[in-house]
Formats: sequence, structure tokens, C-alpha cells
Amino acid sequence: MEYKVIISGFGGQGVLFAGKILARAAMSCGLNVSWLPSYGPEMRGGTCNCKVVVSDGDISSPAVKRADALIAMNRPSVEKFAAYTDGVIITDNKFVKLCEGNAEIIGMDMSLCADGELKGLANIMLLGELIRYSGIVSEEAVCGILNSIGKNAEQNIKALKGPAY
Amino acid sequence: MKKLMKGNEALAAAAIHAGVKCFFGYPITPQTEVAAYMAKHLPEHDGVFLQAESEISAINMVYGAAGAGFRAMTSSSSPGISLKQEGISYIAGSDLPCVIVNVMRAGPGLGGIQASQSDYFQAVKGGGHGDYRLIVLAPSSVQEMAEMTVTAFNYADKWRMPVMILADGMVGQMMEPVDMELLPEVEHYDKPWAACGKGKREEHNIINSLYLTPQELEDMNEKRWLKYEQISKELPDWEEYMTDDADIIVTAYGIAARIAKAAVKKAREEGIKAGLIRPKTLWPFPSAAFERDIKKVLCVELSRGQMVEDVRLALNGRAEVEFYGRCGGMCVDEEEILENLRRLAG
Amino acid sequence: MSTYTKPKSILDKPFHYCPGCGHGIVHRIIGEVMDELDIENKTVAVVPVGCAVMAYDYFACDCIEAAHGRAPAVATGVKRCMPDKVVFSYQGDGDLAAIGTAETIHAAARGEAITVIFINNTIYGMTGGQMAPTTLPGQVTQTTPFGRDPYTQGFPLKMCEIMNQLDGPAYIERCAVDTPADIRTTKRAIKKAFEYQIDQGSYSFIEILSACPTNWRMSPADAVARVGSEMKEYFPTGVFRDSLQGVK
Repeated sequence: MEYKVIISGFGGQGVLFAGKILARAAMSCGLNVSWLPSYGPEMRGGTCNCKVVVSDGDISSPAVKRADALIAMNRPSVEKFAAYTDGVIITDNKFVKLCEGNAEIIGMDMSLCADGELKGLANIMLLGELIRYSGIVSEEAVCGILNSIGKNAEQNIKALKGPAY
Repeated sequence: MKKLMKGNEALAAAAIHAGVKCFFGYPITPQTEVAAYMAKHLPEHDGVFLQAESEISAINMVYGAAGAGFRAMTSSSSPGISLKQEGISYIAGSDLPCVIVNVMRAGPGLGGIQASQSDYFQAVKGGGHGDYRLIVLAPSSVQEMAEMTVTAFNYADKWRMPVMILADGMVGQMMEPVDMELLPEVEHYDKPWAACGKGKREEHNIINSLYLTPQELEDMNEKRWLKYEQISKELPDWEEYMTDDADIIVTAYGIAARIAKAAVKKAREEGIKAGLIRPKTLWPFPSAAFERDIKKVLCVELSRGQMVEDVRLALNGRAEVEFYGRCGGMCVDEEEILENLRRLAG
Repeated sequence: MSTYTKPKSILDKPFHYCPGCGHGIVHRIIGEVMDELDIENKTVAVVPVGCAVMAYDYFACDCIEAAHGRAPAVATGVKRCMPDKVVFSYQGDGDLAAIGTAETIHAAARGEAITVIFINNTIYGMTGGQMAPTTLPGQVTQTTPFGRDPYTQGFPLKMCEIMNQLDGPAYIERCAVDTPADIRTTKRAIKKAFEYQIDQGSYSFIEILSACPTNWRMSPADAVARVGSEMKEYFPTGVFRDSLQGVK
């Protein structure tokens, strides 16, 4: 089993953080994992992404040419990565029609995280949808990591469990 | 216990574990996390972090600290390593131990910031002026970034020479689980030669690479090259994967080797008898790994072909050697290597 | 009755310097100061590329030979690891003010607890007399055969004045070794610079105007006279900063 995820969005949307949470959760489940960020000018004001590979065997390359899942938090991310995603694309409702390719598309309402208790936690909300969809790691494992970080654990877990919760 | 760490951070943490006294550096992508980690954590361990005004100053601060007998290191990426070459030559010429990290990015010139392996020649053939070598270690995982850093300090002090860790942007930037309990033992060596103030010593110590009498300089270089010969016997290190019955050997180092390994695995599933030799020391080059009955070799690098020359030297015409590489920050992928293996097998 | 003897901090080896050169005088002064402060066994000298390249053969303390211009960076590395030791760099004008300007300025800006001894003789001596960053306007050298034209070859750098713009240094003085009185002043300055390092943990910069009869193509007497006239006119001697005395 090897599962490759791209998480992409604007700098400040927490894409690197969401990737690290996924990676740490996978590690806590005894899986091999790699996390590779975009870096340099790419991150200055533009889009930012990280690639997470989860595997029960050795991980060859942390770079992801074709992804099993894409979490796309903004339009440029959809435009850049949708065509390279085979499994599932999780994005905001308003970008769904832009997604080309074969992947299944799950639209969510990121504006739920524009204000209020979940403000700024769209990254975790989308990550929650990914783990429920893929089952690569358990929700408990992710909650465990969020709890271990401590800061805003309660809100993060709420966001992870999603608007339906 | 395993911890998820960036390659650059694991390297810095391991250097502190190895007792590095001081770190001198200058910001450059993609290795800046090393300096940032050192700035935050080295003072806790009674160490010195200093951001230098230039790469040249940073390596010369290392020269001073190493000359005074302390475990010293610097890190940079390709263009910065070019600037350091003057200092590296002086350090080699003065027989000083230190650790230099190159988290390679693509060149030439300002090039790009994505991972590359195009500084192989510079690292293993001597990037500065004069007859000298560096011990060059090539990590291919975050765990090895940490382990090889401790080894680098041990080797540097044992052999009194600079050791380079030749990593790349991908290994430096990526996070993987690291187990710091698996680090090699930290070795300690006396440094009676250090210029640290005479104290009760009778004679003063001089750290120097200037020998105006040709015979004296030739003797010094001769002595150093005898040491290099000894190192070439003792240090070569490599990993093998499915080589026993292999018809085709893929050879690659660093990040490229991981990808090559996956390609070898897939080739085996297709019935192609492929194997992998991954040099872990680039100098001394593990020529002994190629002393076997080999028919075909595919050398894979993130460059236009540099290590392949040492592979050819090691084989000395005994096998057909092909090269496959990507450069400019492009990374090889499994499928590309596999296509080459199918062609070589067919 | 006092006997004039060789300082014990200077080794018993004849200097290789030319007749009339200032290096020997300054070496001796440094040796006397190391003796007087009893610091020879805890001092590391960082020596330059230039005529003083082999100063490590003369100073009895531990020595490190630096690459051209890099002495302040090397000294920084030594001092940061051993704050309780005494570290000085000894540099010429090409070394300190041309190829090593960045190292010079930034070590001073950081206020490194080192002492920088700067020999200004307006020429590259070791390589046979080429234009230095301190070569005076009109001065003939191998590479300014028609005299230095500041509008094409640049103006001389007045290093003490430049260093005096920085907040890092505690003590900056320009001295000379052309007269007995100047030599005594130079010794007082060098001693004070070491004391600033030892007592205050501060950076000091001592520029010393010095003659190079060989490359100036002058007799030693004429060369020494030039230090007192042309050089002092362009590079006025004096204390630029003496923070404990409130001079700034």
C-alpha cells in the first residue's frame, strides 16, 4: 500500500501544517511516511504545497508525480494539480467545476471556516474529509496528534470531524 | 523513539549530538533550516552560532575554530559552496578537521533551487585549488542525514581533514521519521596540534598551509596522499540491493538511489534481473563494489553525468556502462529508470 | 641600568623584512606588549597574506596563517570558541582594505573581542609593488605607472575614518612608526588595544603608517620621511575613538 497526497493552497492557509498532521498521524500508526514542502520563491505570496507519501513499505521518492489524493484550497492549486490526480480531489464547492481528469471530486464549503469557531481551519476540515474518504489513517490517530500539539486542539478536532458533526 | 524531522533539522540535531562547538553560515535555499536550527539550539549546548557576512567568512570562521581545536561546521548550497572553495582548500592544506554540508541545488550559476546532484565533481575531485581530497558522504534519507553527520565529525577528527556531506534539496527539505537513538557513537580525539594558546606547551603551534620550499611542500602533500591511500582502503561504504544474481546493476547515490531502488524492485517483478549499488561514500569511491562479474551498469544521477565517470574507472572497461539523468531540478522517476532497464534487458 | 633585550614573545629568528620596513618595528612592539601583559601563552595570532605572511615564524605565541583578507573571520572563529584567550590579527593594506574589506568591516561591526593591527604602507609589498587600496593619488606603482588617478583608479580608503562610522569598535587609533615619538605612541596604542580586549572584551583597530622603501623605490631614510610628510597629510594620525575616555 502506498498513498500519495498533495495538499496545496495559498501561503497562510495551513497546507504545510495539514500535511505534517497527516504525516505524524501515519507515523503513529506505524506506517512509513515522507513529507516534502515546496520552498523558495514559490512560497512567497504564491501557492504553497506539500506532498505526503504514506506507505507500509519503503518510500522511494518523496516527490509525487501522480497523486492519489489532492486537497486543493485555492484555484491555482486546482489548475496546477487536478490533472495529476488519479483518486480524489477535495476542494471548495466553487472550484469543483474546474477540476479536470478522472479523479472523484468532493466539494466542501470552505466558507464555513471563514469566521466563527472554525475560522482558518479549512485545512483541517478538508484533511478530515480525506481521511474519512481514504481511510489511510484513523480519525483517532489524527485526533491524537492534534491533542499532542495542544494549541487549539478542540477547534482543530471539531474542524477535522467536519461541518456535519 | 522516532520523530518526524526535516533532513536539514535532523542533520543539525545530529551535529549538536556529535558535540559541534560552533556553526558559521550564511542563508541560502534549500539549506537555511540548518542555520535556523543551530541559531535556536546551539546556545543551549554552550555552542556558538554566528551568521557570517558571507560564505567566504563563514568557512574562514570554521578554519579559525577548527585550527583552535574545536568541532566546527558550516552548511550551504551549491553557489555558496563554490564561494567556500578557497577556505576548503586552506582547511585541507592545513590538515584541519571540519564538517561542510552541501544541500545541492541545480546549477550552473544561480541555477535553480530544486534538488540536484550536479556538484559531484566539485565535491569528490577537489573544488578548490591544489592537490587535496574531502571525505564525501551521501545521505539518501533523513535518518542518514543524522547518522552521517555524526560519522562526518568522527572521520574529520580521526583523519584530520574536512568531510563534506553531499545532500540535495529533497533530502534536506523532506520530513521523515528519525530515530536519534540509532546514531553512531561519538568518538573523541586529542588535538595536540591546535593553536589554542600555548599554555604550558614549550613550542608554539602553527596552523598553516604555506610551504615556500618546493621539497617541503612536496613532502607535505606526499604525506597527505599516503593518508588518502589509507582512507581509500578503509572507508569505502555502499549499500547493495538484489545484486547477487543481477545481470544489470543500477548505481545511484542520495535521493536518486531511493528512486532507483524502487525501479529495481519493479523490474524484478517483470522478471528483469536488476540490482542496485548505492555508494554511501563518494570519496573514497567504493570501487570494490564493482569488482564482480557485471554485464551492464546503468548509472542514474540528477546531473548530466558525473559519478558515472568514477563508475567507468572502477569497471575499467569490464562492463557496458550507460547513463540516465535529469538535471536543472528535474527529478528522475521510477518509470523512466524502468524503461531504461527494460531496454537494457531486451 | 636597563638592558635592551629581545622580547621573549618574539622568537630568536632573523626577520626577513627589507631595511627600513616597518614590520620589524611593529612585530617587536607586539612582542614587548605580550611580554608586559604576560599573555604570550594565551594568545593566538592570525597572520595575513602579504609581506607578513611568515609572521608565524616570529611570534612565539600560537599562530594561524589566514587566507588573503580573511584574518578577521578566522580570528572571529578562534575567539568565539575561546573567549578567555587573546586573539589579534595582523594585516596589510591589500589584505585588510581590498580583498578583505567585508571581513574587516563586519568583524568590527560585531564588535568582536579581537585586536586588529593594520599596517598601511600604501602598496602591495609581497608581490612587488602594485597599487594598494591606500595608494596615494599620483603615487607611481607597477600597476599605476603614470601615478594613481583617483578618477579612474579610485581614491584611497581611509580605514580609521571608515571604521569610525561603526558602532562596534571600542578603540580606533592611527599611528605611525617614522619617529621615535610615533613608535612610542604606537606601542601605547597597541598595548591599550590589547587591554581593551582583555579587560572590556572589546574590538580595537590600530592602523600604523609604515614605510616600504623597496617598493617605493626610495632609500630607507627617504621612505621614512615620506611617512611623516605625504602619508600623514592624507592619513592624519590620532585617536578616532577611545570609548573609555569618551573620545568618539
